[in-house]
Amino acid sequence: MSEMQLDTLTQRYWQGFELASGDLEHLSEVLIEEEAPMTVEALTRRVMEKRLADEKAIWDDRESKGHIYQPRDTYSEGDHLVFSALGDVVGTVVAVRPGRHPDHAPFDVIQVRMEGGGETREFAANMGIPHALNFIQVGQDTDLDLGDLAGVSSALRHSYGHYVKPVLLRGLRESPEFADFGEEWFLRGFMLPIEEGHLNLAEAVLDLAAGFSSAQQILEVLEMPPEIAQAVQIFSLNHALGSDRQSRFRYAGTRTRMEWCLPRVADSRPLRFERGPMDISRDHELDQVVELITDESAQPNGHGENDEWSHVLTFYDWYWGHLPYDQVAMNLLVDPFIEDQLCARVHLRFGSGEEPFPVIIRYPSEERLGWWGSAELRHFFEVKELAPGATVIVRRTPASETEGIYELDYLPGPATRMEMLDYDERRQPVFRRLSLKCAVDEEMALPRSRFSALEALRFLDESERRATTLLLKTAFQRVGEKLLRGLGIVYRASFADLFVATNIERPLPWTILQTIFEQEVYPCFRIDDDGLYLYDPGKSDIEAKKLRLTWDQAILDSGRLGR
Amino acid sequence: MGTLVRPDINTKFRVDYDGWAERNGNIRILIREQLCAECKAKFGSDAAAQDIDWVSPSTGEVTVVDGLRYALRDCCSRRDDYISRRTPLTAAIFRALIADDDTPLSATEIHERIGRSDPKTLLRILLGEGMRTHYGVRPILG
Repeated sequence: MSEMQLDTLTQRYWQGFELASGDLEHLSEVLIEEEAPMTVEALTRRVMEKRLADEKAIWDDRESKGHIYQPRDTYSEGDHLVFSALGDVVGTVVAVRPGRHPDHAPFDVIQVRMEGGGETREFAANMGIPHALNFIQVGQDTDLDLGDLAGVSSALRHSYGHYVKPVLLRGLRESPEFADFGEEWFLRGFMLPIEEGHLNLAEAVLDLAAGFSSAQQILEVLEMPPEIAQAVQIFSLNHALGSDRQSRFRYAGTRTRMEWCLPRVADSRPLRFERGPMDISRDHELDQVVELITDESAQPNGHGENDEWSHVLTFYDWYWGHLPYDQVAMNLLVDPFIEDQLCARVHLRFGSGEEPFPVIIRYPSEERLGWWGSAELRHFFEVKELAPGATVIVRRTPASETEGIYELDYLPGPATRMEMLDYDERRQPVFRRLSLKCAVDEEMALPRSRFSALEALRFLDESERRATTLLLKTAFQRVGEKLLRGLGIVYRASFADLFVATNIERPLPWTILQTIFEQEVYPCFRIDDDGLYLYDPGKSDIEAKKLRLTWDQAILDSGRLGR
Repeated sequence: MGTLVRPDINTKFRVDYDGWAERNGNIRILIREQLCAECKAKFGSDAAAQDIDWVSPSTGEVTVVDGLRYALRDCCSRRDDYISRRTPLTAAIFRALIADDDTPLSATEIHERIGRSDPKTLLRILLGEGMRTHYGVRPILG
């Protein structure tokens, strides 16, 4: 093992890292040589490797001239020394005498005849106290081998890369020569020229594919020069689609599965009754009942890892092929790959024998809840004879991160038939006898025996259902018990009934519903002494404050697990 | 004929080491008396052989310096009790003059350093026989 004596092997060196003029030029050469875009992590390693190699070259040059002078070493007459602090001048030890200093332990003073002028200068040697010129012994217990620069630079990136990466990233962003897509960087001047005609062709490909296509599928139509590396072709296409001035394209892929979406087609594809994903997304916007707050004392909901997510279907979920994107779902599903990515297409597979089908993740935004689903998911619920109250389970697979494939399952139950709420062809509520082959959580189901009044009531139009308080008042009127209290009528209902009733026409997370009562901001809604929930129409007109929730609570906390 | 310069409170004074040598006097004994107890113990009583090898913290190069003056500058003069109310006034003036690498000081500056008496009185002391013969202090004139 080579002795580790280089500054570039120390934390101190990387803590103060700044880009030098040659660093970006070096990265340009690396990218040209590799003929492929690289992640900032890989580029970080290359910069660190270059710095290490440069210092090692200087070191090797010094060593070829003589021993590198360190105050802690012992020298004898005739030794040839290189003085790194004096511009690598070389000298020969001509005498050694005892050093004199009351604060230092015994040490030597060497007299050195310097090359060139021949003057004699004195230096400390055999000195036990620390000195800046003494080499820092780094990694002597490790297997770092300076003969393997790539290996050492990987280890350095692992230990100190976090000092370098942000500095490098800033330099890459400021340089007009580099372009990025997602986590990857390449040279702008070496990208394929993607013209307007290419973009029109890409749009046609996506149009024909019902809105979603991989970058590879688009490239097959564009017929790019075959001599250009595939990775460069894909990077160039991704960059061009992402920079389209008309914003026709939306990235819908993952880290390794490059996929694009044509919102014009994908968002308008009906799920049921002409309602498409855009309409469903609008159902997820927080209305003005919530004031988002920043709670400094709250524990941040760290992005953890969940291998499994389970969920009891509400009527809304079942009817639209919809699933809520809550904290656990976020920890299970692929993250957005690029900044401001709105959606990603993943696939769910039920059992090993069945073909995976797509679902689109719609990531949450500042004031909109996320969701995931598709017409194919709705079809799955129908074919497998699931109903509101069924428990679906989604599990991570080895191909989740790379291919976006997840395993879908549900809790089975005995085959049965039950009269459940549904819509008829005119979108009017009706109870139908449905065949079921799943376990049903009775609190979440909508059988006629529990909610017969629903059939007789008009359902809310879009503007009505988006007003949370109106939705809740209507839910009380639909499922609550009507009581005479004092001079007026009040409605009383269990929380479970309210949750089920409010989640027919739009998703209303458990947490928001619960908070309406717990924060007591609406005088007309309260919890009575029996723990039941009350609506007092007589107090409807009293002005209310807003619910105060953090973004995590309002957007990601479905609250079901804490029930 | 040259013009005589009359020293005033802004005239700089210094310790005349060459004058000490010409008179075969040993100023090192006088300097040693100004050291703190710790440095006195470190250097012992042999005032003759007390040069030390000062090591450059950046290059490792050695420079031979007077050990007593090095100790006075780097240790003793930085202590709070180097010049105190109990230090005799003449000794306090001497300590001020040798503290900072023998930087020449005026009566005004010495007054600022030692915080005692007043510049005019200090000037009178500086020009007095005691300071000249016992401490080797001379004005820098012209």
